[in-house]
Amino acid sequence: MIERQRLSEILDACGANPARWPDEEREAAKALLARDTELQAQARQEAVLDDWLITAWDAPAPRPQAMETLLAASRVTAQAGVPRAIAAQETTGRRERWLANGWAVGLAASIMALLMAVSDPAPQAQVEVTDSSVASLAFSTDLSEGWL
Amino acid sequence: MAELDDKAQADALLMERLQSGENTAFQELVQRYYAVALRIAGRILPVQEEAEDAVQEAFLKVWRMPDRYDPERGAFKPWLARVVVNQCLDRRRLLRPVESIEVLAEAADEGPTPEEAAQSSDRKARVTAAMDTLPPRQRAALALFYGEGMSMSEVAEAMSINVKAVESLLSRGRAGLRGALESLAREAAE
Repeated sequence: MIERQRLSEILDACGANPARWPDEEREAAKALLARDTELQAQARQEAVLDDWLITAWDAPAPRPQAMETLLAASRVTAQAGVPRAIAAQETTGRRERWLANGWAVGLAASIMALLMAVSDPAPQAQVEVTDSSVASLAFSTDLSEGWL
Repeated sequence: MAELDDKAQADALLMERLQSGENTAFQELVQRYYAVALRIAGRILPVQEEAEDAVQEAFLKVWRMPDRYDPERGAFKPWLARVVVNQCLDRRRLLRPVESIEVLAEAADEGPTPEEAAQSSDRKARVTAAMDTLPPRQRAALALFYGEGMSMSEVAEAMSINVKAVESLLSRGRAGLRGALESLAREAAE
């Protein structure tokens, strides 16, 4: 059993397609809609808006160079190749520079860690610098920890 | 552990590899989900470069803090959607709010103005212009529910709110969109 007001709210929020209605209310809502002409009129109006949302609301297509920038950054960091890092720094564009700076910060931090390990007399304090440690440092300059 | 289908299990394995430091796993995740992430971001942020930046920052956070993902709590895709939405909403908060079609028309420096869009009777341009009048959280809810076909509970998870709040955002978003489209149609008729 569902109230008319509730079905009207569902139509307002979810549109006219019963498949998008809440699972637990769908069958009762369909039964009510089948016998209520006023709600059927509302559903027809909502269906027009559904069509706008589904067929006319475009999302941007991925640009290959944007995704490649992201992939290239992870490859540079994985391989820790200085020439590629320099090449990245020379690229134009804010995002490319940001990525390259992140790589440089990671490399500098790794070198510092390596020097500290070498200068430490205790053998158990040696730090192994791996690709993954470089990767974890590469983007450590972002301070926004509360992102979730 | 949450029930994960085959694709979600494969994603969880990739995240496990990333957590153990395998960069190739990150690259595979980017290839799988870049387009999805950009669709979501592109519907929340009106300028493509802004959307691309938000997606890039979201993926870099995945890379930098892969341990934040817990497969016990659900699949990777809605979790990534949450990271992307947060990035987009953070960016929108930095932008000057757009409250009316008139203000939008003055502020817009890219894409069609509402007047141009209405006069051209281009449905896509009109819906884009109408969307630009909505608050970002309403756009985000509409993007996930209609653009990505997520259920209301998935949208709730992605936006860190409850299902009732999602329903309210969708309802207000649709009402705002309807009003903006009607305004555009009236302007086109004048």
